[in-house]
Order: sequence, then C-alpha cells, then structure tokens
Amino acid sequence: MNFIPAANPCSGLEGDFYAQRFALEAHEDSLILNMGPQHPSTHGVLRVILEMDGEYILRCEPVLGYIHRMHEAMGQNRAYVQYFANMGRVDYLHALAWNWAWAGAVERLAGIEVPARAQFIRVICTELNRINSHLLWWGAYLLDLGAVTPIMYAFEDRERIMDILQEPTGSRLTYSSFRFGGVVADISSDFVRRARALIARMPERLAMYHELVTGNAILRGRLEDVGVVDQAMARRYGATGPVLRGSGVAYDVRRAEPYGVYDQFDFAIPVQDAGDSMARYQVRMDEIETSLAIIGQALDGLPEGHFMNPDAPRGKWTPPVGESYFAVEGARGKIGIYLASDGSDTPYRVKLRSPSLSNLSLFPELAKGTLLSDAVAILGSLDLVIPEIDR
Amino acid sequence: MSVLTSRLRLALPPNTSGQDIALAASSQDVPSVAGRLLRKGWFLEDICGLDMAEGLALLYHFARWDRPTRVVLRVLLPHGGPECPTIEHIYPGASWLERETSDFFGIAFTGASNTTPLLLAEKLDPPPLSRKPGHRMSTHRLWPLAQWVGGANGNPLAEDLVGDPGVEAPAPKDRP
Amino acid sequence: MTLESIPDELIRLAVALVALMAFIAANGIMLLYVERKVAGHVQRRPGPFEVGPHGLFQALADAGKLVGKQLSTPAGADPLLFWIAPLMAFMPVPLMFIAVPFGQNLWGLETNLGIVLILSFAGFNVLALCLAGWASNNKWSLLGAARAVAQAVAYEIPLLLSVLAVALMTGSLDLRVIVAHQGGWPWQWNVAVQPLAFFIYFVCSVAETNRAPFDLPEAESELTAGVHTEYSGMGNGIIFLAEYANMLVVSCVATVLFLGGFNGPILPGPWWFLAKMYLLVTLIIFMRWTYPRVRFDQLLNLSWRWLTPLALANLLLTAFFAKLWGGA
Repeated sequence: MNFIPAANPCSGLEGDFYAQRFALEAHEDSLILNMGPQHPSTHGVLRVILEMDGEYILRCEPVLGYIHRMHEAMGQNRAYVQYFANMGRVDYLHALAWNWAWAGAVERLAGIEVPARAQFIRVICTELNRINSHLLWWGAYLLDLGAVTPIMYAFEDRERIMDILQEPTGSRLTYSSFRFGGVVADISSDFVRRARALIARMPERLAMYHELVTGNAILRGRLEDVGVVDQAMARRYGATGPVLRGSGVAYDVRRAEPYGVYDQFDFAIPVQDAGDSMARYQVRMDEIETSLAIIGQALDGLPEGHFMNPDAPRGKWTPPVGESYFAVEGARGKIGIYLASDGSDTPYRVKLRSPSLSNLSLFPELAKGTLLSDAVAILGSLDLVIPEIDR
Repeated sequence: MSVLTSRLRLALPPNTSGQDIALAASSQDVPSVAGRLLRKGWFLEDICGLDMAEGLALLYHFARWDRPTRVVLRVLLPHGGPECPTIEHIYPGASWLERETSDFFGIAFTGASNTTPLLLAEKLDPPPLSRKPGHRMSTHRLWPLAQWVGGANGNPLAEDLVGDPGVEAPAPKDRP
Repeated sequence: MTLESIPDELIRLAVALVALMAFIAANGIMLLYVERKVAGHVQRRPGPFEVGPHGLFQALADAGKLVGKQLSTPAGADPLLFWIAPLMAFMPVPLMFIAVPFGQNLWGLETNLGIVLILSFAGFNVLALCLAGWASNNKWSLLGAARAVAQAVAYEIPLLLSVLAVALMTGSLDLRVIVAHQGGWPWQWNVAVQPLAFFIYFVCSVAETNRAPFDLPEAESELTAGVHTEYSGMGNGIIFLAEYANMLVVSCVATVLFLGGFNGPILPGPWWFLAKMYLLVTLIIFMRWTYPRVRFDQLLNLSWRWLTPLALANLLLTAFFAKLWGGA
C-alpha cells in the first residue's frame, strides 16, 4: 500500500496522547485499532495500537506502563532482604529466577557463601518453577489460538507442581523464599518423594500433549513460518531465551555464565533453527524435559548440610561499597540485575534487566505486514509477562 | 592505532562485579563504540542510569553469545541538561531502554525518533530516580582509581573490542 | 371465516410452526446444557453441577439471567439495525425447519422445493451478522462482520455443490423424495454412495454456523466476542439461540440428505431421525473443544482451493454416473 497520508488523521479519534500521535503517520483508508490493555490475548495489561488495512497490520506500536510500579525506586528505599518480595512480583511466573538473581547479585557483591545443599535446593525449586511457567505459557498460548481445552490439562499439572513447591517456599505463585546465603526452609524427604513421582509422571503427560496438540495440522498451519526471527535481528534487539534459541543460537545463561551448581549437571540446550513460532514452541516444550532431567540429577546428588549459611547476614545489614551484575536464565530469557551499593543499608541503585522487554521490542518489526491472527500467534510465542516488562 | 580508542579510558573492575571490562567514553563517542561492538558481535543487555556526585552516569552493558564476557560502557553526563546521542539506529532494542532511562533520569537522547515516555504517565520533575545533591555517591568510591588501567589507546583489550585501524565507525543510517 | 374454510395447509403450517418453536426452544436449553457438560468432561471437570441435580436446570437459570439483564444500546450505534440483527438471525430458523420431514407424515409444509427453501433462508444469518457488526459502532465487531461475510460466501458454494450432487442423484429437490430413496440400513444411505459430498457438506455446515474451528467471526481470543461484543441480555440470548438452532438445521438437512432421514429398522421413524440428528450435533459440539482456530486466509484457502474444486469434481462424477445408469 503506497503511503498516502490520511486527510485528517485524528478525526473521530477521541483517543489519548499515544493514539493521536500514532495516527499522525496514518495511511489513507486504514483502520486504527486498539488492542488492549484489556484483551484476552495480550497476556496482561499490554496495549498495542495497530494500523490495519483490512486484516493486515501495516504498523503497530506497543504502549507500556499500565502496570508500572517503579520497582527500581522501591529498591532504593528498602532493606536488602525486603526486596525479595518485590522480586516475586516482577515476573510472577518464574519468581524464583528473579529471587536468585537478587540473591546472587548481593552474594557476589558481599562475598557471601552459599552451602552446597542450599545450592541444590535452589536448582530444584527454580527448575520446578520453570516447568510451571512453561506449562502456563503452553495452555495460555493455545487458548489464544482458539483451543480452549489444553489449558485445563496444563493447570492440572501445575497444581501438582505448586503443591510440591508449597512446602519449601510457603507460596503458590509469587515466591520470595530465597535469602542471602541460602533458602528460607529445607526440603524434606516427602518433597523428594513427590518430586521423583512428578519426574516419573511428566513424560507421559508431555507425550499426550505432543500427540494431541503439537502435531495438529491446524496448529502447524498457525505457527509455521509465522514471526521468523533471524540471528542478526535477535542480536540487534537483545533477544534472549527461547526466542533466541528458536533461531539457532545455543545461548543459555546456565551454560554460558554458570551460576549455582549448574556446571555440575549434564543437560542439553534445546535449539531449533527455523526461527518461527513453531521453533519457539518446540524449544519451550523441550526445555520442560531438560528441566526434568536437571531436577532428577539434582535429587540424586542432593548433599546433606545447611540450607542457609549460618554466618550469612540477616535482617538489616550493610554490604561493602561496590557494584555487581548477576545474570540468571529465566523462563523468558536472560534476567540481569545490576546493583550499586554505597555501604548503607539500602541499595544505591538496582537495575532490573527484563528479558520480556527486549523480546517485545522485536514485535513491531515482526508484526509488520502480517495478519491480525498472526500477531496474536507471535505475541504468544514470545512468552511475555507484562509485569516483568513494566516493572 | 585507532582514533576512537585514543579517546577512551579502560578499567578492569574486580571480578566480583560480574563485569569484565569497563570502557569510559564521552557522550559523543557512544554511537561509534556501539557500532564497533555490534560489528564485533556484542549484543546490548541493558542501559542503566546512575545519579552520582560528579554527574549522571550512563552504563551500557554488552554481552556475547559465545564468550562469558561482559563489557560496560560508562558515560558521565553533566547534571544540568544531560544529553547523549541515541544508538537506536545501531541497536534498535536500545530505543525502549533509552526512553525508560529518559523517564527515570531526565536524560535527553538526541536524535531519537520516539521520545514519548515509555513507562511513566508524564515527565516528572524532578525525575523519579534522580537524587538530591547531598545524597549522591562519588564515582571514586564506586569505581576507585585502582581499577583504571588508564587510556585505552594501544591496549590490546580495547583494540580487540573497539579498535579498527583505519576504519572509522559507520555513519548513522537514515531511518527506514 | 369458518373453520372449514381455512385451508388445511394453513392449519398444518400454523400447528407446525408452533410445535417447531417449542422444539427449538427446548433444544436450545438442552443443547446449552449438553455443550457445557461436554466441554467440562473434555476438560477434565464436571461442568455445571450446582443448579439442580447434575446441573440440569443450569440452562433455565441462564435463560432467566439473560431475560433479566438490561438491554443497552452502545453510544453511537444505529438502534434500528442494532436490534434488527438478532431478530433477523432468529427469524429464518423456524422457517427452515418447516420443510424438513421428521417422519412419515411429519412435516410442516408440503413443497417440492425443500432444499431451495432451506438454503435460501440460510443466507439471512450472514446478513444478520453483517448488520450486527456494522451497527455496533465498534471496530472489533466490524472486523468480525467482515470475516463473517467472507467466510459465509466462501463456504456457501461447496455446500450448494455437494447438496446439488445428492439432488442430481435422486432426481428431485423434494426432501421427502430424497428420504424415500434411502433405506433404513447404513449401506442404503446416501453417504455410502456420496461420502465425499457428505464430508464437504459437514465441513461447510460447520463453517456456515460459525462453529469452531471456523469461529473466526466470534473469535474470543482475538476479537473479544467479535460480532456479538456489544449485545447484552436477551439480544445475546437470541443470537445464541439462533446459533444453536442453525446447528440443528444443518444436522437435520445432513440427516435427510445423507443419513437416511427417518428410515430405520424396528423403531418408528422420528426416533431414528432425532438419533441421527443429535449424533451430528454432538460431533459438532465435540469439535469446538478439541481443535484450535484456523487462520482467516487459511480458512478461505481451504474453501476456494480445496472444497470447491472437490465439490465440483464430485458433481461432475455424479452427473456422469447418473447419465450412465439412469436417474435424472
């Protein structure tokens, strides 16, 4: 469509500042549509302003900030240990990864040791949380595509995992159970037994999901060749996680910058080359199996000992002056926390590097020229959690 | 020797900081450094603002897919009217990160195509994450002089990162 | 005007219409319950359970709720078109039923153009969706209406062609004659002779009634209820009733055309008719909860590039064989 500017772009558009600014570059005879912030498929309060030519998207612009709570300002006026609660709310689906990033940043800055048993507990709980996150992604993604049943099956698996995780963490969703130098509670033999039962049960559930859903012709038609991300584009936007691994780059922070005891485990990084939504789907399904393998190895090698370093500082304390950067592989990508300390009992600066923000910044370029249904499929394949984007 | 590296300073932060190499540049060199880093295969992790006593610090964190190295590019801007050229024509992902930093610290990124607030509703005055003059930390405490190797000129690390003898950084591309 | 001077056909028609309205209403309630129970059990949950034993009175409670809600017209909507649309969606439904033979002597209107009557009234549904989408003053409804029209037009053609193949084979457009041509046992049904036509007809009828996986005009996750977004209360209720009744109509027609109608051993005819009809309806309901949604261009591709040529080929083959071995 050649660019003929609309005669009066803002006519009839009693929209807000963002919509009117977007409309200034409107083509003639195009439809400006607002998707969100309340919409079944935007996975949270994400607003996307679309310019449509019939069913095709000419241009789109995400508008953020509907759940911005200024966690970075909260980081500057809280004691260090109080910030764990914030970390649970940033990405509520993989809260333990953000917990680990915060604990790791402070432990790296202050040189706090973490006992071996605590490291193993952290790995097991975080991987269980990753499986939970991927299961919800799977169910919600298929709900967006119109299949309303898989989410019920996924949630049944999630209930089992949440029951298992409730014992050491005390929560079902917004976990804040890591502390500097370990975790807040030990795991019991009952936990180990239930985790092993889960590992035994999941493969047949995953086989059922693959048989019923992944091979479905309609699903393949919706996902294959939709939203292709090549490696150069991923590099320029800073995409990480399954978005990057679906484009053929085997970059996983657990392997690239090992933290905790991940270097002791033998696991394969799932990678697909196609770069389309089907590739990202496949990577996440394979990651569930990778996580199950890691949990199994961790349970086998679980050492005795403290679940928390007895010499670790508790309550309000002052770390040394300095800065640290700690990166963790979250379900959505590379989580990073930059921490600057001035030696007082509240941090000087906390910067939260959100993988979903970088992944979503790909979207305007990806969605150009696609159908509206494809835009929904692409958004789901990026696995966004809007509170993580807005912080 | 590269003209660019003669204008940079190099630091080696302690390995407890998670950053391996620190480059200090002035704001007008930021696009050149970013362009070189992209061509060498680095990706932009984040852009972080830091309100210090000597000025507003901007930290650009870069990382790679094939090596566990992190580079931080530190820029110090004056408190009154902080400005920095945009790198969104090199790293499109920087566009949103710059808008967010501009929301929180009031930094103006010159040449940016979209300067509307990303997360906040309107421009706040004073910007939310800026600190009152008495509460700012000195850069000498956070980045003590002992870290600094000195000039990046001729240093093999700097040459490896951004050195490109005889070839200057590419000019900013026009917006498509 | 005395009772004797009223023509028999008119009395028959009036009685049939009243009975059909009752049939449609009862089915609406029952199908709503069946749908929710099937949905529940496919999704590993029991479905409605509170209202009445095993949730049997849930549909009545829903109907009561819908009747009690405020009928609001969105600001800027065209009130005449907005409220005509659900009525127009519902109006042709009893008219489509009157030509269908439920049993040996059980039909509403004696006509030898039954197929034409049904197919022509089926087009009203599209007009109703189009009006609803336009008159809602809502861009999402407009997109849904545009999709509905394109989809209906695309799937009307293979539907007609497959029905035409059966009519050609039988030599009549009269539904009673078509039923009489078939026997009671499955190998005597038309589906044994025309399996492709049955398949095409079934797929097209699911698309015509906007049921999943072809429910793009009302795609919940993309268009937030699409065409029906702005309707509240009984406006919504009438549209849903019309949708369920449309499902019934296409199943009735499929039964008559392909599954032997009311023919069957042992039991009297109407029971077999109802059994076959409900089998197809349940199949349609099952499909909704099992498959994801097709993308719109894939939907149109399926119709124009696959179903229409196949239906044409089927028709040609039927004509060829009909000429060779008698018939039309």
